[in-house]
Amino acid sequence: MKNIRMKVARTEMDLSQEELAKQVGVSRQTIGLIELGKYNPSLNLCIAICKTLSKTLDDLFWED
Amino acid sequence: MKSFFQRNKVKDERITNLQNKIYREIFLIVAAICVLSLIIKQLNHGYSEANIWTEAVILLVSSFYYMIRSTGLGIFSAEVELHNQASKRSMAFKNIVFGLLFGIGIGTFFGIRSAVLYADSTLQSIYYFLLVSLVSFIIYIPFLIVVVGITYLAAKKRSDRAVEKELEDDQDQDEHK
Repeated sequence: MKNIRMKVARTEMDLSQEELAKQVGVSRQTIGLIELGKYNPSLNLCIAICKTLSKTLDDLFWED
Repeated sequence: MKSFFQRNKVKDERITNLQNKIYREIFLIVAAICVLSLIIKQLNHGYSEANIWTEAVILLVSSFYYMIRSTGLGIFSAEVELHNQASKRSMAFKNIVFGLLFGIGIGTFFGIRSAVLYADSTLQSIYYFLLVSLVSFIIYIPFLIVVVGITYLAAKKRSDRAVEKELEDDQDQDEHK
């Protein structure tokens, strides 16, 4: 399942996948795969992404 | 109530990660044993191709397998990207330097070997060392730089294609920013 919320949050911050990847310390491929729902990130990576995008875990990763 | 055959869908990631760590350590132990075995065989029995090929196959096939898998899954590109983010020198540059140093190492080894095995006097051993080293440098340095460089470029290209294919659903164009 695609993670549209993460993609929206990233574009709101005016960050490219590459820029977000660099800030978080992972590869662009990993960010792309998380947004596509093809890779489940670890909790540590989720938290790092949330902090960079100024969002909570619920905002980006909780499925209703 | 869960039926007898119903499986738990949640895998224990801690156990899987620790198992993967152990497998990695096992590989390092096997590689270390192979290298140690090669050194002991060389010291005890001298150079012989028939002696070394089991260890060589283990080391080469496992390296080759890692390269094929990592480029096929696209993680080679990710490794290069992460390396280049963290390091001042690019991985391509480091590969060329590695080829150069490896060539110098091989040339020097052959030079010393010729001086020790075939020379009868000190002057002759210096002459043999310089001659064989120089010829080896001329042959091996360009050869290794080209081989390492071409291997790197081919692996990177294959890995980039795998990444593109994996991310092809992604309509995000912002990487072109």
